[in-house]
Amino acid sequence: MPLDPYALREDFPILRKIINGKNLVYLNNAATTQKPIQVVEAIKDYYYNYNSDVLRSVNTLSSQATDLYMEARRKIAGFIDASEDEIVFTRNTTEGLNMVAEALSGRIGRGTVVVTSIMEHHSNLLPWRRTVAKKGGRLVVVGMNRDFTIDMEMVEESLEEGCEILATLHVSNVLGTVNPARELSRLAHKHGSLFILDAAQSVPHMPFSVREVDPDAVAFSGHKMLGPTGIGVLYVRRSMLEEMEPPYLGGGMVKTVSFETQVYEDIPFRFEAGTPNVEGVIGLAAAVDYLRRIGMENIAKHESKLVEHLLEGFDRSMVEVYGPGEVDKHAGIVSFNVKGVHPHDVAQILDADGIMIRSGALCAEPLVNALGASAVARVSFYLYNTLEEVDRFHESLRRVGSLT
Amino acid sequence: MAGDSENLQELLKRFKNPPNYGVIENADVVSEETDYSCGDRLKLYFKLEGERILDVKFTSEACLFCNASASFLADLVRGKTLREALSLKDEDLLRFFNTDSKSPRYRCIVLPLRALRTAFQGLEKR
Repeated sequence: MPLDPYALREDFPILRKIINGKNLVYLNNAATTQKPIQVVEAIKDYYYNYNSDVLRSVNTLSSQATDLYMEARRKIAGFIDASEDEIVFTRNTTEGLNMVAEALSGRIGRGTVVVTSIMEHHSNLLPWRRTVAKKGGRLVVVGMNRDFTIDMEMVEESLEEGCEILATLHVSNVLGTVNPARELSRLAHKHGSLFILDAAQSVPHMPFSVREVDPDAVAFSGHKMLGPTGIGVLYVRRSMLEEMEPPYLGGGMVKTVSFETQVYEDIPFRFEAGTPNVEGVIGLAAAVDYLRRIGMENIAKHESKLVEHLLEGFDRSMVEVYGPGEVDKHAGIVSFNVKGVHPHDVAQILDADGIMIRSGALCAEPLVNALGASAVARVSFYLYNTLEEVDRFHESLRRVGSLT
Repeated sequence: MAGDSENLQELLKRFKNPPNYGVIENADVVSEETDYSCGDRLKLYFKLEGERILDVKFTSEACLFCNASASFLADLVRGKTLREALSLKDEDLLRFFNTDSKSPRYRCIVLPLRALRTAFQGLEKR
């Protein structure tokens, strides 16, 4: 059954907010999503009834908190088809990707090739560039096709030249294009390379299984999928996780410590030093429950309908769309510019009508520059957006056009 | 924010073709600044006579706020000494927009001042 955004909106109190005299239209979901009552209530319930340290103390409250925490971990891992010991909690996607780039630095030596793409978010470019620069390796940036998907021929060529690590994003936060993750993974492994996936814009919006995609590592953020900020997930293939050096040492990540030596905890706990973000994990598990109840397939279809309506509504003589511009090639993200008007000014005019969008270089400056722009405006959808909101967006955008 | 939106209508009228926009061909100092978070890019051109600024112009790939601010800045520093120009504060630009450092456009508005400071720091080193 297709999802009913009007029914879901009842769960999001913020969507009733009035901004600049108008009903809020929130179209900045690639940046962060709104939170349903169920997520906020789960966090509240944890603090009012269960708050304690986890995995440490021998007392009833701590054991109840630990049960909740471990149950939440299982749910979150299950959401991407992973086992609970294959995911590491991070702050966000950025931290996850940095952890992987650092952990894999031991595999990078003089001349080692790491491949990434032109469409990467800065988070999947800068960590690799630093690691490669430190170790004397080489970073190769592959381009994209005319339909704004990753250039698979170039990927294959780079892999044939001895690439050790292929790190790409799944869905572009600028273009909205979906890269063929399964195929990239298969190619990388065929050539003996590792495959690292930035799934910040895919896991929240479409069905995703690590068993199906078969990556070596995947990072995503809780706050982009109805969860709280400050909690992210890094999936790492078990064999690789067992090899990885823990990034932080201290409490909670060791089995035994003497003045001379220590024995690290098992995976994944050795990667989670210090008191964990229990609130974040419990909030994210509630978000996962919420998304599962609706169904990821339904969410993807709903967003596709919104994108179709959005693309149809653009006056192409006035608006340049950066991306395939065809609905079947788009996730729920569309970037554009109104000719002759800076995207910040577009965002500001929409804001006066209560419509929140993002403008700028979107943390993907090399890509935005490659598109021939210094900044773009971006609309990004989620399950609570409606076709009516798309209409309101277009109405407001026509006012922008009339100013040129 | 609502105030900024009203500003925008006014700015659109006044700064569609901002005064002081353009290149000074034989400029003594050229300074470029980019705000990476928003993507505004600005170039300032200075013609100097000793310690005095004879003329200033700017080119940009920037939003209206940044362009308007650069335009104001050029009027403010033309004829001033370098010391006087360097003593300008963020507030000297923000007040043209009836806004403060909490404005979402703060970074756009102060970008020209950053370019000015970069220009003269460079000059001092020479």
